[in-house]
Amino acid sequence: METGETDRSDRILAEVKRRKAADRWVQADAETRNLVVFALNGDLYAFDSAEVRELLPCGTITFVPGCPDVIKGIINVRGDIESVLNLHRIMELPPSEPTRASRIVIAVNGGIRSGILVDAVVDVVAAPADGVKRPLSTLDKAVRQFAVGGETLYEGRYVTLLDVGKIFGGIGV
Amino acid sequence: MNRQKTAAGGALPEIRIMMFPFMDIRIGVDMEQIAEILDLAAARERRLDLHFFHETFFPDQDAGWRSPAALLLRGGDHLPAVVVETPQEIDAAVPLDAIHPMPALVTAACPRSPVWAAALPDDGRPVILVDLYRLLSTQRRHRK
Repeated sequence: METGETDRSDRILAEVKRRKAADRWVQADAETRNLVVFALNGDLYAFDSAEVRELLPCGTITFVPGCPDVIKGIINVRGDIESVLNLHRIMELPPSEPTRASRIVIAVNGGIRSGILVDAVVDVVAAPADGVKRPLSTLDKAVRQFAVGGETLYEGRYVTLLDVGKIFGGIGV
Repeated sequence: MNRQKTAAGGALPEIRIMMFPFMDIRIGVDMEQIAEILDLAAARERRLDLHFFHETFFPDQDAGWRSPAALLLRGGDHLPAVVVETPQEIDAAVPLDAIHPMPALVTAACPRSPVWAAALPDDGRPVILVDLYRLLSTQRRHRK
């Protein structure tokens, strides 16, 4: 009984995937040095803009039962479903509830696409190539594992560059 | 209760689901899995093998039921029933185009989840689709 009925779910899902196969991955933009600077727990971080597709206000996030709390839930983005990652939890920062300033950064890496919830998007800036320095040795270990090239400065404050691929990899892909 | 519409070529243009609330979200279940919907007292009188929906996800928590109902599963004798909040909608049509696979990171994070997809109805609020047979398999694994 169970196998047959479970096959039905698999069959429906295979049909749904087949219908959607033609579609949605947007090709990566040409390589740039632009950074999307955002705030998290009072500190500044950034993603390479080549890995960012769009910035969304934080609307209703639908909780998915059974998911670990590194995944905040799913959202409807113009008729598609995207996951939303809880970056506070991933980087072992104190928990925080979304506010009006919160944003969902839709990021892409290695063919995987997901939203990442941040406290606020501060700016999109062009960072000078020689402005990126090695991460501070005092950087928290849990954050350091997701850092990519290093740190840069934005209006006199350190900005830690994060690697979207490492964040996705931490989820298990 | 076979209300499944099937196109000439065998493809499924839509499925029909029932929806019930769970925490602050909506859960959808394929009507093909449901033989009967009973109130909980009637299910207890019939001495059905009852499984509580929330126990799969929050085994140590009290669900705080408001109006529980038992979904008797289809497929043979001695089938279990799954206790849920009374469905808000029964036999709602969901076109296959409105069903979306779970995002890759969700699938990676919970590979054996009874959640198999999400539906996006006209109101735009995702409905989490759960396979009740997989739900029971998950509960059995947890109990071992």
